[in-house]
Amino acid sequence: MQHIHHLLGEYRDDELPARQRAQVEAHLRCCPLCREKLEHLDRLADVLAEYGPPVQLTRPDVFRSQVVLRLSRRQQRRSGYASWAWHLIPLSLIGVLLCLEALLVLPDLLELAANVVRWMGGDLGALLNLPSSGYALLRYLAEPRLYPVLRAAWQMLVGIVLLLVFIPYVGWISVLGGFRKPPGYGKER
Amino acid sequence: MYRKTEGVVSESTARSDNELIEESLHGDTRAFAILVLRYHRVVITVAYRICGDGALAEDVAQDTFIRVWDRLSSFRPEGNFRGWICRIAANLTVDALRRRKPTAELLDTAVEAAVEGPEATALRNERAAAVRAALMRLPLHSRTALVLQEYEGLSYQEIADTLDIPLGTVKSRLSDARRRLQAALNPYLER
Repeated sequence: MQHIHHLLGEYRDDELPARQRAQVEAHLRCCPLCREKLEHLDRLADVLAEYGPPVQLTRPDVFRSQVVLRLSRRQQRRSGYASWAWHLIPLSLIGVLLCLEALLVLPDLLELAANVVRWMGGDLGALLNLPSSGYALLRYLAEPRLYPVLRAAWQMLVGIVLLLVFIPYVGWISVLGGFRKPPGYGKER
Repeated sequence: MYRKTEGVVSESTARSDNELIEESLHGDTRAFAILVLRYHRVVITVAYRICGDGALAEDVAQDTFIRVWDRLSSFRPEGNFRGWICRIAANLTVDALRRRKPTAELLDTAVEAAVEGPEATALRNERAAAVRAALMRLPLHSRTALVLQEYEGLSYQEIADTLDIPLGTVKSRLSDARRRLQAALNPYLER
């Protein structure tokens, strides 16, 4: 007779399919060894059931208060972060606007300034009281062929700064929105 | 063993878990506090049976309820709340044990605690200490699977989902755990 010790655990845990369960029960009716094994498992379960936590744990009402206190402290901390973080929103908006302005308006202003430098020539150096090396540098930067390169580099730099400001700003707004609401608030279940 | 708490707030028995969960989802910490009271013992017991340390079990139990609060919106009303909270407790206990260095004195403390009291109580305490020692000698995942099945009645599939292991691995770990426990606790299993 083939024994079914390997199935006794699943049988006892009610995890066998109905057909297999019926086969096990039929076998148990005529196999004392397997019945003994099953009883051994039952006795093991009885012994295990006696094992539990010690008596000297925190009282349930005190434990409950500790949990609620932790939750309220955590909510206060988040509200604290949220309150000062909200104040940064106008600053972030200003930063975004300044970047947009630098990106779109400033290059045109610089081009205008370069045209003025080329048009006024040496008179500008005298007007600004620049040393000859300073005026030479100014004339060099105002060169028409150099100016598109400088413009492109400037716009790329401003674009990168804008991304570094804008993306964290949007992310921050989303996170702050999460801080403000209790878990699952407004969600339909 | 664990003393059942008398005089729990009467309103805790009036409302169902789903009602309390719904109120908690709207930020009502009083409703959540009732859930904490209701499942405090269950959670600590699961944690204790896995880690064998009362202080650690209490810390994990607190963390469990904080995690439950955070993830309450993910609990489905038709599900088993007790099973769900036990799974969270088991995972947090396993994580806590992994972060912690293993110490041998836990077993020694348990054995010493057994040697006191009247004869019947001493015998019972000795058996409990032996069970604890045998459980703590099990590999952590086998012990966790056993606690979830034997004490909390979770199905094999639920255990597999909790521990993120295949169903076959759950079966083999349970079988291995029971075999080891039978060998270690054989004197207490004789009729």
